[in-house]
Amino acid sequence: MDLTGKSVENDSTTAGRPDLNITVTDVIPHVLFAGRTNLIFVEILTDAGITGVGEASVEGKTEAVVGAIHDVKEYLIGKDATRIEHHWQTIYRHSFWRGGFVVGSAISGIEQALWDILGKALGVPVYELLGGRVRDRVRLYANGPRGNTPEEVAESCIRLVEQGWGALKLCPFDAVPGVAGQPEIRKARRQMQLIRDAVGPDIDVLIDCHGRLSPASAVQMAQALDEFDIFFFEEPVLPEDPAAMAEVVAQISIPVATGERLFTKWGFRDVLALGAAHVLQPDLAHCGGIWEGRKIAAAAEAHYVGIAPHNPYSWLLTRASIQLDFAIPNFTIQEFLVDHPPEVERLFAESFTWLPGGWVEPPTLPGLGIELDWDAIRAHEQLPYTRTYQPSLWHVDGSVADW
Amino acid sequence: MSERQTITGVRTVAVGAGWRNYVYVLIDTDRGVTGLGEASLGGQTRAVLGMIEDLKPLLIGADPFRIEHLWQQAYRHAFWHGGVTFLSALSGIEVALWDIKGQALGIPIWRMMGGLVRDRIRAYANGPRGETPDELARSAVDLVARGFTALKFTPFDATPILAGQRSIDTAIAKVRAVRDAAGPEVELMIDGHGRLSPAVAVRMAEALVEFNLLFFEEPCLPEQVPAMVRIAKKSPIPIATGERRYGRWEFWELLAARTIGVLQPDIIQSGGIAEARKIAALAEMHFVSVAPHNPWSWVNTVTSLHLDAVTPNFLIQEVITDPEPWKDAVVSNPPVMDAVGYFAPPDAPGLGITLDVEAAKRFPPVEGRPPALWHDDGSVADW
Repeated sequence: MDLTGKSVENDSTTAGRPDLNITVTDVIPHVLFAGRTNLIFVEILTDAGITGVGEASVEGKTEAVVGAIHDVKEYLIGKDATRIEHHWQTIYRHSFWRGGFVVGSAISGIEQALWDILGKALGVPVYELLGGRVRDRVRLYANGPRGNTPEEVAESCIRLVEQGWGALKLCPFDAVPGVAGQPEIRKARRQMQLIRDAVGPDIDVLIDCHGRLSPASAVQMAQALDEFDIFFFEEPVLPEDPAAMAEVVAQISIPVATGERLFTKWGFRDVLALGAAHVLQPDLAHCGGIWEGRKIAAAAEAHYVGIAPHNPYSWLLTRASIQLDFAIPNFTIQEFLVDHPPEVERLFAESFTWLPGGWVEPPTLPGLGIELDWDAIRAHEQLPYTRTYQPSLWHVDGSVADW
Repeated sequence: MSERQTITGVRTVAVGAGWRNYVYVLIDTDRGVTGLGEASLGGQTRAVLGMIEDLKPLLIGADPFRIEHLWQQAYRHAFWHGGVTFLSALSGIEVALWDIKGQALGIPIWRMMGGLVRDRIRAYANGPRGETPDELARSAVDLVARGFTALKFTPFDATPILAGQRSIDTAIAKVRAVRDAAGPEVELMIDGHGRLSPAVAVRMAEALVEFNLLFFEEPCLPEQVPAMVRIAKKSPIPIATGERRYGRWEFWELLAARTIGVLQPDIIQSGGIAEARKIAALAEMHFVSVAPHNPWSWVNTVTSLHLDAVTPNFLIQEVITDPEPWKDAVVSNPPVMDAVGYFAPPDAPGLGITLDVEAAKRFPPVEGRPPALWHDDGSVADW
């Protein structure tokens, strides 16, 4: 009797579909300078001639993520490309040193690429493999208002609304001391007043606190900004302490969102158990990929918590995220970066289009639903990319503030 | 991609299976595809059939590929949410939709859930059967000879809230007989079937620990989570529960207590294969194993094999082993366990099993009630 349970790593069955006998032949990371940060694309080649792509971009840690992709390349080559969960388990759990955003991003890019391959092989968008479409359209919000002064930011909001956006996200805070003083509070109030006056009452305005506030200053700010009808208050405090986030939730009226700096299902568990958020923001390029996002969404669904995937990256991650958005009942809104440089937009075969209000129609292309311009990518990746991206924020006394 | 399809019909078949019935849902599409799902619920045949009838207007004319969307409409547009009758009906429907989609794409369902995470799926027998230690021992020997490496049985009769040593000695005698008959290598599980009070359950666990049991299932009734958690804190045997938890919301509290060793969602009573997959993900989040409950027909067994094949934290799969005439007769290609107690992942498009509707007519539904268990004084005991 063999009770050892030793896996023989055999190939999947392919009954009736010999075309699904797809073997990984190469895994290639591509680093693409994109101004604000570098993009990291993962290209997975197969013996079936199908190429899958995924995005693993993460600010400031390009070489580590590329290294992590190379670390698992040897494992993946020769493997059945369709055993997506199995490869996730192998890469994540056999590594012993589990987790963190570097491995999380590498595995996410790989995982997206494997879904892209399976969707293309079956001729269906990935959402069909996640239980089918649960909505007719997906709403985007613009990660977009820019400007160096409150007036410039308000002007930027007006331009975005004129372009058709119905939801905007911005951060009205610079470095804020542990207990906010009147200058910081007045500055944030003035910024939000200018924006609300500029865009009117019907535009959803989202505030990203970027973890810059302490529990005390988060409560102060939320109370001070409550009158501006904020859609959600993102990362009011740093995400390392979910109990602190839960205490902020308990004390303020604005719904709280968090999750871009939480990784894998395990990273989200305590947030849900403590009631530390109304909306979770897994980033499918960091949290472990589309299927990991699906698991996180299911756990959130059990807690009446919404999902708003984080995505300040390229149209590739946007397309991967939209596949999940169309398949989960508790989807809330999808982040979209509005100001990619033209040379980044040229990496894609087609421009990304959306409808007035920020709506996106269901994808129709198989897989993730995006085609890359490989000539443009091969040319662009010859350019030097930034190696020192590290925006820094300082308190007035010269000490480090959380960016 | 295969052509878009539309649901044109929803049929049900009830098959007499001892004191209970197997309930099947068949969903037909305009492309000639028929999906199959099981919705069995012992003692509630008519209620489940009525529920499927109530859900039919939602399905006729709908796109069968939009599985989650139809599930959401069925569950959330209903206002009166959940409950075991509704979930059992919904599961049969949901699995039939996955069957349609898999057939349309030419792939087993597990391919749509991340692919195989294991090469073979370990089963345990819902058995041995018998009233006396000797009967149980003979049945255990028979099951081990058939290839089973794991057995589950109930060594408890009706047990008072505070049981005397006699109840404990009876249980010890039965478990000892099975352990001696099966040998030390076979995994044994005991099923409390909710028959014990928390106080008695802890004493039983302590008394039975010497027999090296894999888990102790439903030591008490599952409705009150703190009681189950209290037992789990004290029991030297890992506690398993979940067959009577319905839907994802009822599993979180169990998991949050961090003491339960094994969750046992049943695909039918959970609300379908995707819902069971969600529950398995919650368990994975808490490092808890999943051993899907399945005292039903081959159809839910095969459905469970799809779930087991894609679930990293899968432990072991329950199967009914009794040689009942209706079991093999009503399906066309029942799964076959190998000589060392494992099933292969299903290997045909969709669910990979079909109902023989003509053969099913040989086993008309029965008017059945669950077996009744009574205390010595004539009062009702929990079966």
